[in-house]
Amino acid sequence: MMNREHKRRKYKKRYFQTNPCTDSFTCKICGWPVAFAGAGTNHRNHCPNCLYSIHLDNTPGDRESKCHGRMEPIGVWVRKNGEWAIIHRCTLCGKLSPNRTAADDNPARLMALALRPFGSNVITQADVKVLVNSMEE
Amino acid sequence: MNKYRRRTEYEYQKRENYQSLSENAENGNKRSYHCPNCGWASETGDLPQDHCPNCLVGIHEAEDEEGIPCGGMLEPVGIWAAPKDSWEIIQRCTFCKQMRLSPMADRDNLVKVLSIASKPLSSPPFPLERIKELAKLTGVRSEMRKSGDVDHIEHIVSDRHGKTE
Repeated sequence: MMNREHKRRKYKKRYFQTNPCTDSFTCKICGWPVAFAGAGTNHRNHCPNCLYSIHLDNTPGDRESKCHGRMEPIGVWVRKNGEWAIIHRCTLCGKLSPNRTAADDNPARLMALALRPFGSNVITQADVKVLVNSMEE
Repeated sequence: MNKYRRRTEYEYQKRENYQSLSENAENGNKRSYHCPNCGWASETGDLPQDHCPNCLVGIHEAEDEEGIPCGGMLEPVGIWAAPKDSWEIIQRCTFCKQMRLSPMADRDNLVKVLSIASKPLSSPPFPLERIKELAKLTGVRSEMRKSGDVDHIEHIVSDRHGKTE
């Protein structure tokens, strides 16, 4: 029984689109040991500690990408139902993909992603002050 | 995207809209540009590079297998504060669901940009006052320092930049 499953997993195209991947793995970027359980979904696609991902799929679950670059989290997309999705960007080929947050994702890193724009110098406090003054006139 | 999916009338309309836009651009008829989403018209007559500066919506121009541009609306979804102090607007096509980055321009609507950037902050997925308890549950590190707590902040910041670049 198990052998058949191994075979299917190896040779069937787009196996992971219909079957969950129950492997545990260590993160290639931060070395965090990641177990299958605890994510709250059957499709864990990023490290819960550093939120990085690896570019394996072209469309979710097909494992057909040959890029295998590391995908850095660049932002957060709030869906209409209030659910968060992390937006990953491949550092090699620049592909963007949204991924649902898991239950055990690092809460501090998640909030850091949301806060990151406010810590940069692109829109400074002086800019906002000028804007506010011009709108109050 | 499914090649054999039927296109609805609405989508065809969008394509026509796109084609008329590109024709206008080719004829040098720049003054007639108006944003298909918010109706913003350019006063100076120059076309926006990537997206409408008023509502930050762009038009998806990636071509499919037939060689026809997608023509869907790219709605702004998030802001990426890239290293070297440049912001990029993350856009998502409402028709083919692909995502794209477009660099923020100087004349973009600041209020809109800030509201997009603060959207995730105002709707967190967990109660914010319990960050530390949650971090303990999962066993991950969560340190939150303020500028007064550490006197080597510049050192830390320069370290991080060294890693990312």
